[in-house]
Amino acid sequence: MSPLLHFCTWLYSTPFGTAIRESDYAFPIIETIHTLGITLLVGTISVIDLRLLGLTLRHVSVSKLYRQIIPWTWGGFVVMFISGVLLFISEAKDNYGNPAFRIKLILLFLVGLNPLIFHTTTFREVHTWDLAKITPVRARLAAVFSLCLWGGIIVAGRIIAYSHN
Amino acid sequence: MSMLDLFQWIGHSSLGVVLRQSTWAFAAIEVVHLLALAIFGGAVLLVDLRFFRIGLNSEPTSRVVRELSPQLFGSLVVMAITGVLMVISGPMRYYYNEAFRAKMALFVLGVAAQFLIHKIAAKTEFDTTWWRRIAAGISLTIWTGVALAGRAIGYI
Repeated sequence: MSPLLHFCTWLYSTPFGTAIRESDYAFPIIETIHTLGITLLVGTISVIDLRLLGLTLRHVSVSKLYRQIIPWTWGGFVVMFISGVLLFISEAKDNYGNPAFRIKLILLFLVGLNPLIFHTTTFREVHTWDLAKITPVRARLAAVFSLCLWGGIIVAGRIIAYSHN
Repeated sequence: MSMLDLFQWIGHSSLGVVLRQSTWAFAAIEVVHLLALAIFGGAVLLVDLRFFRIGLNSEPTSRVVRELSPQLFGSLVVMAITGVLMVISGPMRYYYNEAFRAKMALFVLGVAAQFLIHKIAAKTEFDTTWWRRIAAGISLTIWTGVALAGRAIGYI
């Protein structure tokens, strides 16, 4: 047994993981909170992405929009992350081999990498294109990546429940 | 024709049969429904937060609402279409489902509330009176209710 599978099996069988799994209400409630967290996170981030693509709020400066929206995005991220970890603990053993779950983890890693690159490069010079109707190519590229990756994460996340092994 | 007749009829329609027999049709439709939900949730939230003065405060409410309208109503249409398709794929699973009935009632209220909010917002710049905030609070509560009831459909 691989150490990772061993770890997942251990998580799964902890009293905490077992309690969530065996409770009638815990899993559905946590899953609902997880979905609302994703809505908050992806919903707000998509507005920023659509602004970078020049598709919405075109008269609002990018940095101003970013400053006002991003606290809500982070709020959604915290909710999504904590509830996601709880869901994982309760079904870690099953998730381990689930292809949709594995794809979701890869996409989550990539979606984290995207803003890291964007913020250390193009976004640093945001003052030079803050009010531009057409933003730099790299900003538009980052927006497209973000939209596709988050979309993929939602799709993969939902498919986890369909691809039980 | 009663509502029950209608549900039985769409279940037997050729589209209903095709959707029910396909392995991935329901999953694919549901995923699109969820993607639209994310876009819709973001737009509704930013509109309502503007009324509470805890979102895009630098912009007049009328502009926030006007510019977010295409994605708000666009994603609403996508959700409505995919929602109808899910029902067509197995109407009798929904007809007696209490969560589904609650969701439909809340959905109608939500759409009405959203049109009202948009009417109010068109005349609002930077002032936010208490009753506007209450309207935004009601909108947010109804839509959260729609999402909760929607998730509950699958568990009932």
